[in-house]
Amino acid sequence: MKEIVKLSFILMLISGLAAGSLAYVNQVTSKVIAEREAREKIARIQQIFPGAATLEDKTVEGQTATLALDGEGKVVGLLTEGSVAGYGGPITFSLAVDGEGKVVSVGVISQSETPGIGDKIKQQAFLDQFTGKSPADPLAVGQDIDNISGATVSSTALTSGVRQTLPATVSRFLGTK
Amino acid sequence: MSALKALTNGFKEIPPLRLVLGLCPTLAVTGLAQNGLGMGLSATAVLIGSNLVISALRNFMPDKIRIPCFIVVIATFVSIVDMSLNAFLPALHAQLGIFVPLIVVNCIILGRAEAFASKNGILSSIADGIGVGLSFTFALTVLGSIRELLGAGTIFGVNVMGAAYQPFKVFGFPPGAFIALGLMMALYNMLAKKYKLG
Repeated sequence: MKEIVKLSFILMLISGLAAGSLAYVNQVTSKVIAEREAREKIARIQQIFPGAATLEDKTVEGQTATLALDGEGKVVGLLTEGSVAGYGGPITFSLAVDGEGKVVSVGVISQSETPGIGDKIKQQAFLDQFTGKSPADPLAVGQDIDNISGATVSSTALTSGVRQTLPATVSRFLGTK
Repeated sequence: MSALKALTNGFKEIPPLRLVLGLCPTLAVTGLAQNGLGMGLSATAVLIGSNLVISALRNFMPDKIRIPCFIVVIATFVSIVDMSLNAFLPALHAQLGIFVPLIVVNCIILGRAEAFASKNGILSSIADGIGVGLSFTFALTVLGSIRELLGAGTIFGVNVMGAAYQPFKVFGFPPGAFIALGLMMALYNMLAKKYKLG
């Protein structure tokens, strides 16, 4: 019994020393890492919105978006996420909208559609159809969006997700345009 | 044992070739010479640190719990190296990825802790860490250079084979790692036999 206490105490002491030195290194490096990640994030966003200078996270009515602001504080674009029920489960997608309320890009973040059929909604040729759409467009399969043959349910689901998310996003973050 | 002798003895171990230890990072990250060098130096830093601390604490650590103590010390140094790489050499950190945290379970480091640092003085243990670490680095860099040369026609990103060279793409992938390592081991064994190194 006495020995177990002694052994535990020694191991605890060594672990304590280890924890202390890790805390110190983490304190030094975490600042550098956070700064670099912020810089990389800006650089990624500048590929979508070339005028972006600073970023601001904003939550309105439960929806969170990252706003890209130019040097004068004007919104040049925003990134947000949306979710819609697909054929095999929820489809989560990213939505990039410019300052005018037009879609810059749509990307699929996660989905559980049928492999080889429904998961074709990830194809760039399908997603590119959303580029340039505004809330005034019909955004409906058969009208301005061509569905993927064999994957009607999945492509209709993603299209309706964009149709619902886009006007809400524009009115929440860009004022009613 | 003198520190110098420990260093040269350590260097002679050449872990992946002679001890056939530490093969996981050896095979996985040596697609490019630069990654081999980075991985080797990261492991060397961990090895020197853990050898130093384990040697300093060797009389304080009870025999019964020495392995958990070794692991705690090694894991601490690995985390320090991982965080430092992420902060100061992000490109290398991204290339090495999961293999930096995996240095924890690298048997070379635990092996040196058990076989050397826990039985020898601080100076000799540091020297042993430097020796074994540098020979690991050397083996990884040579393997990385061979694979990069054959697989992409470059060494450390510098084109040496000329534009007409058609690279053996396989050397950039895992099968090429096994082939190149096998050839290196054969060459090492041949030289060792000839010069009676073994």
